[in-house]
Amino acid sequence: MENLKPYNLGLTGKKEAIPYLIKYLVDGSIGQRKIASSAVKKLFMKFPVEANAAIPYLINNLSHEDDGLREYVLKMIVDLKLPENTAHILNDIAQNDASSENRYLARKILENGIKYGHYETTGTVRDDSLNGFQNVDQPQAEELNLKLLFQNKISSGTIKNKPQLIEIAKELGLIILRDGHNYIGLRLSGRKQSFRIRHEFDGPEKKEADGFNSTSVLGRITGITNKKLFLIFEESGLIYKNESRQWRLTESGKNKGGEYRTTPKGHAEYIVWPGSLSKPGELEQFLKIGNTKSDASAILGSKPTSDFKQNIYQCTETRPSGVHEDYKEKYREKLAVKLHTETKETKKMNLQQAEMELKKKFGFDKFFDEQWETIDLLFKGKRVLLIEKTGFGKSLCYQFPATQFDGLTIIFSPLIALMRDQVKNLNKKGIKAKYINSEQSGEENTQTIQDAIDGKIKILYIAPERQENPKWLEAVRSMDLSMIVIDEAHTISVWGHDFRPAFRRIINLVKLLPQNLPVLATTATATKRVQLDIEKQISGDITSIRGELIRKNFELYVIKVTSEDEKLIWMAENFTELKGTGIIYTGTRINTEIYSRWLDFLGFSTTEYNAGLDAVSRKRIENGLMANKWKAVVSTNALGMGIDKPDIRFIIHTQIPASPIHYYQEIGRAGRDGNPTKLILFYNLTKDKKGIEEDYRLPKAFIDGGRPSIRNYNNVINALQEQQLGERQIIKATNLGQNQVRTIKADLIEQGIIKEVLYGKLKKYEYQYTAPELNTDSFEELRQTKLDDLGAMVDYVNLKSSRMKFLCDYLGDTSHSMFGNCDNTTLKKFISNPTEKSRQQLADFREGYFPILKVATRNSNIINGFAASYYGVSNVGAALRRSKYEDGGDFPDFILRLTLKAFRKMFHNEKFDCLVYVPPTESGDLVKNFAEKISKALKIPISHELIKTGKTKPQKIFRNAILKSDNVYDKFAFNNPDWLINKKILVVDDIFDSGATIKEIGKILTKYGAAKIAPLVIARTVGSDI
Amino acid sequence: MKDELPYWMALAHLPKIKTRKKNEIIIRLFEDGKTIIDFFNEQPSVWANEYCIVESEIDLFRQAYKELSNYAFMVEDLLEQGYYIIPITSKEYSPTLKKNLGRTYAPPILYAKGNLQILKEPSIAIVGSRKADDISLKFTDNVARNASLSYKVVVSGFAKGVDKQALDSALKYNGQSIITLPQGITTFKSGFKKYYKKIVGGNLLVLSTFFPKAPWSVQLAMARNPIIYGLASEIYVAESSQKGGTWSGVMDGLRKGRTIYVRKPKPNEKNANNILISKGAQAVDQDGNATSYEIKKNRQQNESEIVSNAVEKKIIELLKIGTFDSKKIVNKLKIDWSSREVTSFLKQQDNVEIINGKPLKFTHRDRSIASQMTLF
Repeated sequence: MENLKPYNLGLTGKKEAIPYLIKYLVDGSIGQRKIASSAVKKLFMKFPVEANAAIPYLINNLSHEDDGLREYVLKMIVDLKLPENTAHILNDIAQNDASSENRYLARKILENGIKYGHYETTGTVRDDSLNGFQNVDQPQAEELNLKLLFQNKISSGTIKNKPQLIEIAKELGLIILRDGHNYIGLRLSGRKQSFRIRHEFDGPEKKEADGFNSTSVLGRITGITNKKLFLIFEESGLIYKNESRQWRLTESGKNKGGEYRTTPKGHAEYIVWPGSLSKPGELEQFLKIGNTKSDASAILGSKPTSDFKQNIYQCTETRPSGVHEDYKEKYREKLAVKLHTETKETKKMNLQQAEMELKKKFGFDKFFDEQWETIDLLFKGKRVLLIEKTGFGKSLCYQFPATQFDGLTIIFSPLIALMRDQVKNLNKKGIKAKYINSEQSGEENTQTIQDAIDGKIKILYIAPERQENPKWLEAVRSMDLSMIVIDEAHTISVWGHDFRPAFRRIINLVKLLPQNLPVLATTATATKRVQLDIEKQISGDITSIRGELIRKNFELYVIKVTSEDEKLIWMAENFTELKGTGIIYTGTRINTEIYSRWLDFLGFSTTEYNAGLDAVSRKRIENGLMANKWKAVVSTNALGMGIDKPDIRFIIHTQIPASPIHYYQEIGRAGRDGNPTKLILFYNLTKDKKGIEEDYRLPKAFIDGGRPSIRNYNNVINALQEQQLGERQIIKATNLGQNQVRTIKADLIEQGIIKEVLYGKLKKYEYQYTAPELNTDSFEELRQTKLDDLGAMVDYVNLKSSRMKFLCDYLGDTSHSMFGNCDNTTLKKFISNPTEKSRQQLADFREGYFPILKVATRNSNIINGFAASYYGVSNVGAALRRSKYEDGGDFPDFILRLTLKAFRKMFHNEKFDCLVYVPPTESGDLVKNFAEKISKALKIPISHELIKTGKTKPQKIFRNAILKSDNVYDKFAFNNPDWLINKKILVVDDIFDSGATIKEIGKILTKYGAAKIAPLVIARTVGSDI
Repeated sequence: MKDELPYWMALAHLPKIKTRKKNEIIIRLFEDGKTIIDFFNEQPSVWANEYCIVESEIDLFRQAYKELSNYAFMVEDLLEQGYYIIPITSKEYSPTLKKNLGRTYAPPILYAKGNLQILKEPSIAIVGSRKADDISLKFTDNVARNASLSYKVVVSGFAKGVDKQALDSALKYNGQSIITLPQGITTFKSGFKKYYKKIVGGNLLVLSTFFPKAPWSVQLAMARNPIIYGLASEIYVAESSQKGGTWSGVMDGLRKGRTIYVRKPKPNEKNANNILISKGAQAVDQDGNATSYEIKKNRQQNESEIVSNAVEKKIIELLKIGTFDSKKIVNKLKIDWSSREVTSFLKQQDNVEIINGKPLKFTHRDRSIASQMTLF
């Protein structure tokens, strides 16, 4: 080497000098390096192509310990503004080099390059082309061509798997070794240079495909020592890798004199053996092995000396034998790791098998096509959105798979009635199902949770509000989950007609679930827009399956009227024509009472239902409906969601719903049995002063007034910036109605301005540090969409073409072209034509109808009372207003007459000892005077001893029940209370609103010993009538 | 990134596996360009071969895999309540914590609530006894005030004595603060109520490294102390005895070469502050500044100062062009400093990088570029 000084060869300044100089650099002494580096630098500047080519070699040849050398090279490269394709080579090294030090270095160079503007990051580009390297040493070029050779053979398909790779390598006299993902080919003689082929023979995706698997380990490469490259295979039994991926000597390795060293920087550890083992026979001696191919150790020298020995053992067997004893154990351990697939729940079941199970468990013979399509996807761990009409059998699509999975299936559903029915039916079939919702007691819910944890249930129905229950969240951690189902999935979309904020949390949850856990979302009502929204929200790999929405057994009618009375009269005249049991939907709670009483009055058996009823009453009515106890149930749209009654024969809407989707969903519950079913919709098209149609007014008012004012939003935000507050506290602090606070709360959570936090059992709302500004644009957009939907509902009313087609189109089902069965196509229209007799009947009814005051409670002797009228109905309200606020004098006589009538009709069996009246706040003696007249007429003595003890504000300024109660709390007393003992008292007032005042009086009088207290008022309000 | 969080929780809360091992798995994934989701979906044989997970541990990982759905519920709930979950690969993770604790001790996951930017700011911690004297508390107040004025975050453990004083002072002076909890983050009810406005206002970050529902326990309180040290760039010691948490924390820090300032006690005080100073901590006065004694010493060397400065400049210049150990520097520059003097001088320089080994080598920071490609 020393003789080959470049200038000796006359190569000064010539590019041919470069390889020699590089050798100096790599192998020479410090002095030689110094000279070489400056010379090389100059040459590099002159011949950039060679510079390019030399770099990989340089870097590969760097030994770890030598900081100084690395500095030189680094500096050399950095300062030289090398052309861009060096980046590719460096990138390759940065990613694929066996030594982490090299990777680190290459990265550093790249970053230097980027910093100095030499390179740009173009992402990871792998370019294994060998531009520019041809001019260097022949053997090197050969090697690199070998690399290319292998790459080409692999990409062209000549080499498809490892055995082939090895075959070809053998022919070329190479050893093929594997390190991590790389294959390393080594020349038998000559350089220690190695090349790398990175090929995903062993990539995670192609486990079995190529016949390669992790057991066919050939060997591992240790670190690189100073000057010598030791390749000791694990199988030699001299070394092994410990838990922290560090190479360590086995006992025998130590016995053979092996030692380990660490580079000064601590970057690499390596193992050395004494001597060079290059003399013939030395290796065998050292290892005490024979000439067997299967053995494992090879040592290559780095010095390219000509007497380099070829003591290399080709280790191309797939499995080592003759492995050293104490290593065998460890190796066996590793191999013994079980390799079965761990993917959850890829249930393998074909249609035939499934239908056998179906018959066994559910009693059905076959699946519908779409049912099986859905179930098949779920078995494969996929996500499905199923849009099918009511009555299709969506439940089977989740109930069946649930019985086949090992773990628990959770179904999120907002429909309490449905849960109840379905759980009952499942348990009947022997499938263990339970539910958790607000209808059950705390203890029942807790027990259910425990059963779920213990694996005693297969199917668990949950109302989505459960996500807020801490016990539930804790428990879910211990459940073995197999599938998640979201029922009524349209509720997760704001564009859907029935958005529920609690469901939004379900979506967050679904996004976090493992990817191969099956998820099913079902709904009957989703427009295209809603479908896309749901798909986007559930995300991941989701398939949508849509069935047809047409209900062939439906008969759709619209009856246009000019007054509310006409609706009532039509019912009177035509109700007998309606066969079977049905549901009548009204727009307000008052109307449920009125219609139900009217029908009772006419001799039909009905009952009323609304969401304000307690759970017991609701259950009673739902069960009664199933048992056909009544001809009809009159209800707000709270009833019916999920009721599993197959034979609802008619549904009458006295008020248009908010959109065709709502209408489709509400009528969807009828006629499941496929028999003819009548669906009737009333519409009062009388225009008011502003030209707005009567029945359009109420839903439009809902939409316009639906959202609280921006000021109120800001009030809530300001309150929460001061301290954490619970819902009640917010209500108190802002004096807003409960519903308003709930709406605002939900919107603020939606926008990320506040969050709901659970502390033990307490729910507090917290303003977020990262809260954005309140976004009111979406409010307006939503409002406009709702108005559009309402407009579409009116279009339905005014339609001249097929009604069913209109509904199907609106909901995104454009599959059918033949439509009939409505009063625009094949059926005769219903006309409203009230007779005089009917009008009289209605008048009679109105006279005798008195709203009930529900104040009876356990801790008080007060009983339910009556009002003469509703505040908003007839002229009672107007008269009251005139007297109270417009100086109209005492309450007019007709009010007195009506009130007396109410008393006589409703209280005729009661005997009262005395009559008291509610002391006024601001309307003077109106109530007192009125009470005196009542007292005279009924001959009940009047007492003036009920007094106010504290100042109260008029109840009407308080917008919610909590504040109203607070206002009157402890504000009443009775002079000479002993007189009250065992007496029956009639309490008179003008207006009954929340009932807080009456209830409070009842409490006080009870305290004083009164035996019975009955309220009698002029008018009862509903909602915000005042 | 959010869909990875259940997997991160599953890994972070694996029982019986050392932090170091978890971090090495994470590093390996990072280097290979894979995600933690990829990791959990691997076959156990790959876990064994590629990530050196031994047979006895494989079952633990399998169990964690099974619990992923359950973790998903938990993650959803935590995020919904406004808690942040920060894995070690996230850019929100405190770089100071990573640097100080390294792969052996840095927790793979952090739970936090509040202003996350606080984790990136320069920070100090003030440690001391639970039963501290007034003079120590006054010191704490001074240091906290200075820190707040210079926009440094004060790290506290919410423990009695000096620790709590540090927190209260920092908040009083409108500075920023971190509370490092000795319990799970969802169990801090009274604290969230008390410090609500500070959190909402962006001045306080509450942090926990433990399972969110874990109640307070002595073990967790002890495990939390290294985190406090880890989160701080500088440590101030108000008062320490010769045994106990403060003492061991400081000794450990000194061993690791951390910057630790100890309050110089008055002659009549009975504590171990002086001992700590003799062991290598820097003495500071009641306001947290280097004591006048040191400054005096420098003033005495006035004359040699000019010369020293020139020499210092030379040394720094030399380091800009190479990496050298102290002996080499002395030889090269032919200066009359001992190599030890050179070493201690260089150790104090901010712009000099120290390369471990025997002997210690130094180079100028400008020569090495902080690599974004490495995790640690």
